[in-house]
Parts: sequence; C-alpha cells; structure tokens
Amino acid sequence: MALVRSALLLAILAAVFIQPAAGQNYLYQILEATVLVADPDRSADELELWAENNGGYALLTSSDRVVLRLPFEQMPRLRSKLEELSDYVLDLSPQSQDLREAILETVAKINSRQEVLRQTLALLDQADAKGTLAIEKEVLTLIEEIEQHTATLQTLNLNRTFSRAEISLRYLEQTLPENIPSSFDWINGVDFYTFIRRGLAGEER
Amino acid sequence: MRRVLLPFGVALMLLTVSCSRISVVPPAGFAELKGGRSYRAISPEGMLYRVRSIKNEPQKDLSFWGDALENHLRKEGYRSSADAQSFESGDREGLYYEWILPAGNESYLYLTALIVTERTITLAEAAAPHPVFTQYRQALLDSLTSIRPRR
Repeated sequence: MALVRSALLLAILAAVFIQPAAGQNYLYQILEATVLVADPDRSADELELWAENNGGYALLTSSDRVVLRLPFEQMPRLRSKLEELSDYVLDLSPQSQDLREAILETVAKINSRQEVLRQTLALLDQADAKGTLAIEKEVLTLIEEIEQHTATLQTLNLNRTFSRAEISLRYLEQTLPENIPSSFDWINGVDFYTFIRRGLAGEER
Repeated sequence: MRRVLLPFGVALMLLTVSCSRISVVPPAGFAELKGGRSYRAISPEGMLYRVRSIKNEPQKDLSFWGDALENHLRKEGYRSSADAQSFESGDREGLYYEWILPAGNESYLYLTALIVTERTITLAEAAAPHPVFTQYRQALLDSLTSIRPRR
C-alpha cells in the first residue's frame, strides 16, 4: 500500500513538473515581420522604446532591422503596435517552439552529471596520487559539462520568458512612379496620380 | 410618319442608355455621383471609386489583361501590397490588385480591379490614404462582387 502511495505521489510530482504552472510559458515564440514605414530610423527608435516600456529590450537596432526580446505576454500587443506604427505590414510570420522536452533533457543531463560528480568526489579520499590525478581530470570534465548544460538551461529559460521579434523596416520610397507609355491605349489611362488629382470631377460626360 | 417613328426612337434611346450603364452596388457609406460615362462614388473622407468599361480589343481574356496591367504598373514603379486576388462578380471572375503609393506625406492604397467579358473590359479603381482605405476595404470588395458589366 505504501509502495502504491509513493508511486502515485511520484506520478503527481512528475505531472506537476512537466505541466506548466499557471502563468508560466514553455513556448519560445518568434515573430518575423516586414513593415513599410515612412521613416525607418524613427520607427526603429520607437520600437526600442516601446519594448523597454513593456519589460523587454532591443538586441539590435539599425535603420533597416530591429531585433527585440519581449516578455511573452506582450507578443499579441506587438502586432497591434506594428500595425499602428507602419504604413503597411508586408509580412508577419509567427513561429513557436515547445521547450519542455529540451528543458527536461537538459535538467536530466545536469542531474546525472552532478550525481557522477558526487560519487567521483567520494572516491577522492581513498585514491593514491595517480588515482587523484585521474579523478581531478574527471571532475574538471564533469564541471565543464555541468556548466555547459547550465548555460543551455539558462538560455532555454530565457527563451520561454522572453519571446523574440525580428522586424525588417522597409522604407516607403518617396520617388514617384515614371510615366511609361503602354502599347495598350486603355492601360495608359490607368494612373493613380491622375485619378486622385482629378478626382471624380474631371469625368467625361 | 414622325408619330410612327417616335416610339421606336425612344425605345432605341432607352436601350442604348441601359447598355452603356454598368450596374454597381455602391460600397457601404459611399455616395453615388450621377451622370458621366462611368460609375462613380465617393466616401465622406473623399475616397474615390470609379468603374468604367473599355472595349475588349484585341479580344483577350482576364488573365491576359491582368498580366498586361500588372506588368505595366510594375514597370512604371508601382509597388503592390500583395499578389493579384480573384473575386466573383455574378458568373464572372475578376482580379484586383492593391498598390501602395506615396502622395504628399501620406501612403495611399490604390485598387485596380478587372472583369473581362467578350466585348468589354470593366475597370474599377479606388484610392485613399492607407487608414481610410483599410476602413472601407471590405465595403469596396463587396461592391466589386456586385459589378455587372456589359456583355
């Protein structure tokens, strides 16, 4: 009976560990967007400021590209911000990656190496000079691996906390289209500037 | 003789007028302008909408004229916001393009739509600053589907 109870308790604990707690996020969200703006420099600055005011930060800001890290809760608001900021959103590609498997795998790797490290260190007292050198070498390798996996875990945790947005800023050219004659007469009459300049008043009657 | 011919003359005139008109349901919120050879409507913000017919000569299909118009406008430097989109207008298929163009300090959207029958090419145009255009886009697309060109 005690064995069954322990097994159940373990199962519950495992489920709690795997399932995200309320308010937690295990998705790494990436948004790639291309927007048309009148003033790319001003738009880049505005996006950076907006990210900072919303708990995020800018990884890169240039005249044609902005890379932001934002708290995952803010990602839906970014879309609205882009629509508000730009003349036209040319492309919007959201992606997401579930990090739970990678996090569990990395935690397992760290735990197993820590256990091996503990056992290896326990052998140190009984080892001779040659054995001590071999143990030291093993310990250094384990510590290095633990550090690498800890760094990976920190990156994964960062990615689930902060989503990434890569925004390409395209300049709306202010040069007017050229008037090139077409071989088809009626197509020569299709012209935006004539259309808005003359409005509907210049209509033939 | 004059009395005999008069009813025929009136009937002929009515037939000509009805043939020259394009049937269009105005976009919601637009006011129609009467008179003129083309259909015209305008929104309170001044967004223009015009539908007119051109003789299909040389007689080609929608794909041909769509390509011809798109190639020409691109060559002139127009930038489209998306690929050509198709729509249904009665039993006819149409194509529309949205172009982004600068005018003054604003970005405008300019719509060109085509419906092609054996005899005519029906061309619809609409233009407005970006925020106004997006406000009326759906109404405009609904109106495109209502166009009944001359056969």
